[in-house]
Amino acid sequence: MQNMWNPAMQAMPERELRRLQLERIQFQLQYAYHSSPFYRQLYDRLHVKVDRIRSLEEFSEKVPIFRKEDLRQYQQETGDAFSGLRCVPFDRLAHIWSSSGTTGMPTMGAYTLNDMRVATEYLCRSYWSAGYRPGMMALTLNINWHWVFVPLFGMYRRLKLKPVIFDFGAASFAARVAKWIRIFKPEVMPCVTTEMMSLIPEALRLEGHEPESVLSCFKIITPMGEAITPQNMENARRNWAGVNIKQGAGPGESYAWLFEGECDHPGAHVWTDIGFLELIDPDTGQRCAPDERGEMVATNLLVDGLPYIRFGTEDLGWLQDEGCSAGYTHPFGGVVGRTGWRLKVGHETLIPWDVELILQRHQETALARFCMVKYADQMNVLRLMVAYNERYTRDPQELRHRLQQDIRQSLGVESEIEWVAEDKLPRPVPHKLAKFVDLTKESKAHNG
Amino acid sequence: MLAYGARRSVQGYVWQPAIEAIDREALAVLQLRKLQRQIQRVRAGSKFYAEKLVAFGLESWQPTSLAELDRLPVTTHAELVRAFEAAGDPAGGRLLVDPEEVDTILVPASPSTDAPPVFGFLNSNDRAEQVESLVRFFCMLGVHGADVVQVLSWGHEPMVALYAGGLGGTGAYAAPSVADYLGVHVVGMEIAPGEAWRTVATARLLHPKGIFANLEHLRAMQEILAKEQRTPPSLGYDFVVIRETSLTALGELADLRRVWETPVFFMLDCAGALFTAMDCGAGRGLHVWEDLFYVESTDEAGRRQNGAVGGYLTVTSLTPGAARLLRYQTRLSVKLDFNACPCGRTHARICGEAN
Repeated sequence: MQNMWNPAMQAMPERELRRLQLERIQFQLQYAYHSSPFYRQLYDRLHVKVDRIRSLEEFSEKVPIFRKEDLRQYQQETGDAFSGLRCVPFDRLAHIWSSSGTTGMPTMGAYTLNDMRVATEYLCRSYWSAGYRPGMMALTLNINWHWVFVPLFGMYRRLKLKPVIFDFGAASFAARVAKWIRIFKPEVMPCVTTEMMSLIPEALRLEGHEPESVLSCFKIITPMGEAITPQNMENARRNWAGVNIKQGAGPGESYAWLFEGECDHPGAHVWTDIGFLELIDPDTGQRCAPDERGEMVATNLLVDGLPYIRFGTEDLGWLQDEGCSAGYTHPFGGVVGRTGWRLKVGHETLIPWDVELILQRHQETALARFCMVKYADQMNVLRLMVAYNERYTRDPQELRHRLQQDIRQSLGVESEIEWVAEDKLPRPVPHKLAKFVDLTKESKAHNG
Repeated sequence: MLAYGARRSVQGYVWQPAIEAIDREALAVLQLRKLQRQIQRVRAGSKFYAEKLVAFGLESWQPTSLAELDRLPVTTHAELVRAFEAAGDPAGGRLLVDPEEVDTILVPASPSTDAPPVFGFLNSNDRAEQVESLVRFFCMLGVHGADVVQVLSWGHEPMVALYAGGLGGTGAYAAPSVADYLGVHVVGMEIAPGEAWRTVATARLLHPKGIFANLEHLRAMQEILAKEQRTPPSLGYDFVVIRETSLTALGELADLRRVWETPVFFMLDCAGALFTAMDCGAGRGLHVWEDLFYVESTDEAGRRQNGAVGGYLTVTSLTPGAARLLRYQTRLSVKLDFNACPCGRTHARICGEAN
């Protein structure tokens, strides 16, 4: 328990935890219904009686799920920046932030002071478990509008980390970030994009430095932004020799974030006294079995500013209740992609994760700069745009054949691979590649 | 003080009347006392300045007038870079405090990986001073509680992360942020022109009173609005502040006022010196806070020049902090006006570029 920031909560007996969750859910339902026009409209329309939810099972059965699109629609219809979710007077909002806009126009989020404290507490638990300790110099690639930097800076102060602040991890800054690492020798990097984690070692090599030597100053890094495949993790561990790599994931609204800690098992614990997480089949809406992938549905239990209750995050992942030997009693899981990034090729349903696993096996495409193209609801051939590393690629034609063969053997589908320059790959925001484009959406919109 | 007679106007107010409208003789007495303390501090704490004072025969020096400050040669960016390279220490020997007291280290964006950096080191005093400075400027703009203001900066700059909104919330830092003091809602955003779409989108949702951006970002917003067949005034800003690191964009203000149909102010940001100046709307130059900084204009050799003639803006910090600079000569060529402003403030103003 010495790595637990809050052992009373993090090792709470399961029965007690579920009682606490129910109590908080019941409160949040009443609070949101009476304070938020969005929830009142939603629950009245679907005849949900918020004072009649008596168990966690009833909560899952009777309370509807909503998604970003519902919030955007409400926002467009009413002009309300917070999509009707705000439960407190505007004056009580201590910080307003914008979502990434990865999946469309950004929505607005906000913290009250209480929300900030809750969010900071959440991160303190995860980062403390991961090994972050007072006095560590923290290289910080800051994004001004991003939700995570609010609790991250709060965590810095509570854990007494010392931040070295630079710009967010756009790919073009990799060489400079590598330079600052050589100068400052930071010990931790609490938030780095998954892409930058791959680019920094490459930038060091180009400057004639050995990444393993330079990066040995680090004790821990926490990459975020995109799911990291086991191959990517293996590649990263080779480049970042000796560094603990602890992934972070989750949308800002959820307060059910997945930040890896000390545990040996795969995945990260969710602190479900703060963020309650369910896993449902995105097509049927039914609860998933323990070994299935599903959509993460989040409910934040202590937020008073903009509470989210059964928010369909559209993150595709897995969740497990049992099996942690470190004593944490909360579930753990991981994110592998987005529900909207699934496509059907023949009999197979594929996500970018599946392709990434294959690309990373080949040195020329180990950085996995690619995009899957959905051109029809049912496709016969998998279509990919891929950028290869010119330093390692002697024969692009041979490489294409090799990748197609691997895809055929691993995924059971035929593929078309178009070579593109890296800067031609779509990016919804500078720090993320869009590994999936849906041409059918544009076509449907055009055809009305 | 109403600004600019634009279709919109701002009703600014004064945050610290006793200081901002201080009698200049009293200001000089205050500055000298602070300067004397600062010299003591740097002599005792800063290896960089202790060596410099010795090198110029000033090891026991205690100025008895502000004019004496020019006995100390100016500090240049090149000198700071050499100190960093020689010392192998990112602070270049400038730290005045124990490294444990440094809260935050700032890494400036260099134009390339080869451009030598000068890093910023902040403790709670630095933050408190910068926030005080900004609060006064926000008040010039008439910003009050419950107003929403979009504040844009680069990620590496402390403007959003540490000063205006203060990520992490009150209590996360020893000193409050601008938002904490004034009760305003600061919406922090990225200043990269590629993010202009987000600025426009959030402006539409939140109807901010005003925005701090730079010229490039504003022009990018104009392009986006033009494509949507909307006009800049449709965003409804009561003010726009152009925040720049040089005075070049001063020449664009008239056009910006015409296009945005709102008062447009100019803020000069000298990140290396942790120094900021802004105009009040009276159109008489950019206000400097002389209780926090002693400002001069100097020639290439570091000799003090007449303010009206102008020279390089040279800044001496008068307050305690993690790594203070004395007579830091920027490459900004300015004129200085030490007369009182029609707005009532008595501190010096930067009035355009020197001849």
